[in-house]
Amino acid sequence: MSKPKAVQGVERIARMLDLVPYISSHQGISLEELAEAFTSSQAHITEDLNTLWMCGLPGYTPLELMELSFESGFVTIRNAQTLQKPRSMSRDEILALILGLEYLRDQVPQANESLTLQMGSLLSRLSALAGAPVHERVATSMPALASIRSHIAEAIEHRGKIGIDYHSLVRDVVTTRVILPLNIYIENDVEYVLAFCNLARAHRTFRLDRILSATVETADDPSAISGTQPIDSGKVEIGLEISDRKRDVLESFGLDAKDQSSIASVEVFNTDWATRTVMSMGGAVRITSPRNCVESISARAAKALIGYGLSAH
Amino acid sequence: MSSRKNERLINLTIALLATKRFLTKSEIFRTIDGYEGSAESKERMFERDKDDLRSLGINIEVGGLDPLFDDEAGYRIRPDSYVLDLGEISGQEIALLSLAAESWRGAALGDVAQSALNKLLSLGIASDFESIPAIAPRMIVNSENILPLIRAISDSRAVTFDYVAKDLKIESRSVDPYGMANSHGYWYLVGHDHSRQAMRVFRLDRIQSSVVVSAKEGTFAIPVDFDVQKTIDVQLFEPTMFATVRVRQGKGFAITSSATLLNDSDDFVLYQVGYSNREKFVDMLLWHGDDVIVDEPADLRDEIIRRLELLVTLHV
Repeated sequence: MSKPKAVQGVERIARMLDLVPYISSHQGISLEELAEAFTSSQAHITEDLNTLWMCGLPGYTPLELMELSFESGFVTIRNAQTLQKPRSMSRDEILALILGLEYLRDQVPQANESLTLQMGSLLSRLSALAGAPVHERVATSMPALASIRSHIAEAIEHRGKIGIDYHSLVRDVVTTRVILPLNIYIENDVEYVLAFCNLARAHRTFRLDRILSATVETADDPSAISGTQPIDSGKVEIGLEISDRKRDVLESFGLDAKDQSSIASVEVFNTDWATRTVMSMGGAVRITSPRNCVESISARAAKALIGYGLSAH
Repeated sequence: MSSRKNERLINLTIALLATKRFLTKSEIFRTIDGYEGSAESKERMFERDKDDLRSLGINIEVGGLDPLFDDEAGYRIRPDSYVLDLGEISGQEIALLSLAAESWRGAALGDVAQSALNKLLSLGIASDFESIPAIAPRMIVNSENILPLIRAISDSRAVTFDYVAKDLKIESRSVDPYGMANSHGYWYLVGHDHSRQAMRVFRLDRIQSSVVVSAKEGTFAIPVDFDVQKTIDVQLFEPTMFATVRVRQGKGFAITSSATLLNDSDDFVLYQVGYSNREKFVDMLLWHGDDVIVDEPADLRDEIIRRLELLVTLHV
């Protein structure tokens, strides 16, 4: 799951105890797969196996020792003694499964009733093991988002299309599109769906939390609705000068709360987003470069003042 | 830890699991490989070994003392406490639990979930993915604090952490944690804040320290009608103030989606819109530039005008 790391002390013992039942149920597994399953290196796993090979019941004759074979790069175990069955789970492991399961339940199409029931039963069994109704206190996803996600998951599974209403916050437009979802992925803690978009006739990514509604689409190709341009790509560097250090200002531009500097330079994908963000901060921060962003802000603010029946000067 | 010691600990586990009756210390020293040296050093070794195994959650039972004789204490590990017992479990359930574990890949509990997964896969029951939708859910949470917080919630233990306030002051907060939820892309902790004497909502990514969990368990009771998602919605999003705004036709969706239509004229449409956080609402109004104009209340209108003038002055 993550990079191999050196495990020391009792953690090492835990891994060895867990290796035995894993190998017992995966006889002939390769060292490589074993190292991957235990987030370790083949060298470390080999060391563990070398130790286990010397272990067994008192007496320690060949009859009582575990019988491991791993010379050829494939591992088998015989006479695993009392360690053959997996150890009971730690509280943390149970909690991780409960949350994962709850999250999963939100994404499975709700139509699949037997599966939903089965997950409910697993959740209560695990909660009993954890000794508290954890799943009632921790909500892993928003209900609204869950239903959209489940529609998308279903479409991905059946290679089907869905119709969505999508809100682009930057352009401030809502468009209706038919998309063929291909994959859900996460970047910087935000969930996106990669899809083929009938409106743009190209692959597009959509933020899940900006999809206002999703419906299963049966018609082949609906008439295209209001057109839209793909957002400009390529990063632009903008200069900022912060006069009022507020949490929101720093968070919006991904700046560190502990950084005391009032001058910052950030890379953005979309200058329209940057100018609107600076606008929304109402003077707590100003853009110093590039010039077109500076001008665009003063022009927008002046236009808004006209809306209030005032001129800019 | 030397490989000799690793070997001894494994051998001790095997023997204590295999024995039907309690094994006395002298039996352990005599029969289990690896206990060497003076009587004292054997004793020390054994004490440390017991501590090590217990720290892994292995329950070593002590017993077999006969009150009539000056007997030694005996030790054993009950197989039913050592072995994973999930009751009757089907291949499909194994598949669901595997997916649940997989959802942590790359997230905060990745390593813990992986070891849970290994234990599930060691049960020797073939996973049955046949009737499970081909989905690969990915949990979105990177905060290292999630596990201590969940533990604290399930044990009813108070927590303390450093939190960034709106003005960027970092303050230590002490909270009885009631629950956690994911909302609008963020994780929130809900609990009773000791210094404020009230229910408060905290965003996990604004916690600037490791969460310190109180050693005392069960120091508070969670209200029976507590609903974590609802509390967050009310505290963060339920409108308490109202404004009358003019929105350009077809624009300002983020504002109009939750607003009441008052009057639909030509270019601009009049709405009444509720908000819970004045500062955030000002941000949102300004974001929309000349597409949204505030009519009332007057102080809100004045603030927007003042901000717009400032923006013009700053960007000459």
